[in-house]
Amino acid sequence: MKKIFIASALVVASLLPGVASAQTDNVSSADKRPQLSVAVADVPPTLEPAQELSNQGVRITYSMFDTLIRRDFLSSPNGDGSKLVPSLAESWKRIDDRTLEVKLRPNVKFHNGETMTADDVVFTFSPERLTGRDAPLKQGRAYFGVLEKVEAIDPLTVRFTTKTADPILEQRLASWAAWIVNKKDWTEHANGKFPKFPVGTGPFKLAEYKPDESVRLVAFDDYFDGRPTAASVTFRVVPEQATRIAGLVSGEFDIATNIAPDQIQQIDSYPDIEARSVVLANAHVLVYNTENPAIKDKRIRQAMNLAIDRKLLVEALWNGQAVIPKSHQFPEFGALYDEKRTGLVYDPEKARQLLKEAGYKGEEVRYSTRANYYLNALPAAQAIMEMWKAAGINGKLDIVESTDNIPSDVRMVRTWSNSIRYPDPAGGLWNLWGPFGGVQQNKDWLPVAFNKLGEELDRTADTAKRREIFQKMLDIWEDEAPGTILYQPLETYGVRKSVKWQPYNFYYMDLRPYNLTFEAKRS
Amino acid sequence: MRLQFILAKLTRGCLTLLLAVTFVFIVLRVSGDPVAMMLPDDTPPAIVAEYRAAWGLDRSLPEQYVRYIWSAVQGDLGYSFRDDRPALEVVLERVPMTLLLGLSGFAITVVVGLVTGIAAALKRGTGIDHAAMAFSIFGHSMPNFFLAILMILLFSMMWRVLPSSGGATWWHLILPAVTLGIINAGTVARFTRSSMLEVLHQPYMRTARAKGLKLTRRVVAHAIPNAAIPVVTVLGLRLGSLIAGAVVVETVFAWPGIGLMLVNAVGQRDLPVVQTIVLLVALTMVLTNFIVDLTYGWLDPRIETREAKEDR
Repeated sequence: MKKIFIASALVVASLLPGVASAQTDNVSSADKRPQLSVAVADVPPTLEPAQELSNQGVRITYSMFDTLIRRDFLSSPNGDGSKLVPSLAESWKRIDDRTLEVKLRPNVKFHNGETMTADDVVFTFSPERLTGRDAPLKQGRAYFGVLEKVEAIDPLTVRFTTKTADPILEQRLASWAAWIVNKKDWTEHANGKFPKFPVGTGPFKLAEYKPDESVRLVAFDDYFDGRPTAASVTFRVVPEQATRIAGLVSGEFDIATNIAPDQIQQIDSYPDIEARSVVLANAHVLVYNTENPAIKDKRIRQAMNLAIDRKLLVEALWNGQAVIPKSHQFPEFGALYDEKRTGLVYDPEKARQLLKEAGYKGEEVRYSTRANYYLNALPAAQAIMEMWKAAGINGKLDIVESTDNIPSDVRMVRTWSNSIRYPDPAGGLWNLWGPFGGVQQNKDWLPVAFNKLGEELDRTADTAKRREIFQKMLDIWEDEAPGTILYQPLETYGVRKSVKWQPYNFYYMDLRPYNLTFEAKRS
Repeated sequence: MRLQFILAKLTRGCLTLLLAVTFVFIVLRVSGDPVAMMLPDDTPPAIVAEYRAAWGLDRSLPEQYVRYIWSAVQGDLGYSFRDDRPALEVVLERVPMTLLLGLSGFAITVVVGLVTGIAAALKRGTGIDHAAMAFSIFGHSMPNFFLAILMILLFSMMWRVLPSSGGATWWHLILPAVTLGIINAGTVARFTRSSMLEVLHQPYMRTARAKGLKLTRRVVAHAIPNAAIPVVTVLGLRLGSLIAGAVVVETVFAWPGIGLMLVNAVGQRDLPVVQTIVLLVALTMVLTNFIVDLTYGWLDPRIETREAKEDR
């Protein structure tokens, strides 16, 4: 027994270096700036910004990379602003409907010391990296497949030409997959695929990456938009929400992400931390298979929409803080948004009447959802089953591992979410419910008039005309009812009160100097 | 005879591994699409199809299975979908942290379990015995996730003396190791007590006492060695489940070991990583059982002979 103890002790001791090595610190002891610690549910497997477009990915890469044009989320007090401001681009101008010329900011440094030039920008959007059929970053085409060519006019001027007129090219350049990488570093480390940790120009640079454990960034003091306010930022993987909150309370973390609405009250009960919530540019939706005989009659689908009491769902599941939009349109669409549109109505009486007119005989309506993928998806589904039952619809809840592979003959209703990538219908309704989105690709809805209008929307630059087209598309979407929106969910962060930081309506965590400061005395 | 015995055990072990891997292979592939899990849910289907083809998921299930088994036999367990590195390399990186936690927890189990069990047996019927058995029931019946959260609540949130998550320093090891140790110590204490009670009433113990040996010497030299066989069996089983046993504790404390990796990999449908971890866990269990069986045969040759007869 004694030998066993000694052997065990020796094995444990031999593992010591593994633990000790984790304590490496890349921050100079003379640096008095705070070290920010963020608890996250997961970290991405790479930090290539056009590859890691998930919640976990953009949360980190947003502070490592910059876009040419920046969407100023702080132009609205709720962190959902959509004003475009210069970033790596000093200015930009339209040559015509298909051409945009961008003037780059001079003397911007990458984390490896290289100076950013037009070559880096051209490479970032090149077919070799992003837009080609064989490009290693396969998701790039979903955002920049519209590009015909990107040319360097001189070292600080880049010209973008699209295949057809693209009124939202500026929005695209300020958004997903548009983060600029250093060409030299990228090609050196690509190794036939893409580099896992490319170099950017952002306020923080990578210091240490531990898969599934942590990502440590340190301040990049040559950042063009000012010296970062934190010496370092560490994203630590803590899968359990209870543990993330515990770490926040005990002082291990300054920010805890992915907090459920029912924890807000508990967090707010501590004196030195608080919950900060933001309504996401995202909507939880239901998709209907309009080809399924049981719900082929649009009056049945309209009745299903009218029977959902969204206000009750928001009150019961989201502490009243989720938002019910006015149809598939959002205020950040600006001039294209119709404030007066009635949108999503709760009218069970009318639902019953429509069912009667459609000759509905109580056919089963299968509602497929994943249990834990979308926050509150299951309780919402259970409540909707009861709401439908009250209106006379025979709903059946079907909990599945994936909603993507349900055979078309049994697919009726499935849960989905719609992220609004750009503050424009081209990044919302048209992108998601159009011919290239999941609904039509799955042949759940094949609308002719809607698609014609969408194509017209793509070609049109005039704002008033675009508004008219978009509102007609919404009319069709509401009338044909290929699905519905439930609500826009919340994202809640637990934050130390001494950390002055505003969350955005995307999962980006913007830690640039203008959005991250610390009170003098941190608790 | 001995070679026959070893070959029979090895064949059973290989079959167990094949069954475990086959089961996991099939269950993982029918329970959800890994591509859909890893890409944003509004990714165009054409791009989803490209990923599926790149990962070989567009092939039929039997073809995928045959390719996997053939590669595995040659030592290639595939590439992690997330990490794009060999799955074996990704998994083995985490083994040291899991061993560190597992062995620390095991050491606590041994010390606390044995001491508590021996004390309870020696003080049978007293308050010490009742307290020890209450502790044993507590450890045995307490769900590990609940004890873990309770520890965090007390030591991290209320008293703020220990960190609640991560594996960066030795301080981070304390809460998960104690949780793991206490959960298993309850069972060990109970086995130790009953074995000790059985031994303490044996004639040779009375003889030792009659010879005038002190209590400590009687217990250490005579009682413990004779009571150790069933306790060692229980400890052996715990040792065998060292890698698999810490899944929940690693997840709650965000301890960067194999257990946490398994939970993440299942959630992300990183099939090669899940398969590799399951294979590793099954291999650990098979090897431990194999060694225990061999030890039994060595300790008591009658077991070996009886099993050989049964096999015939």
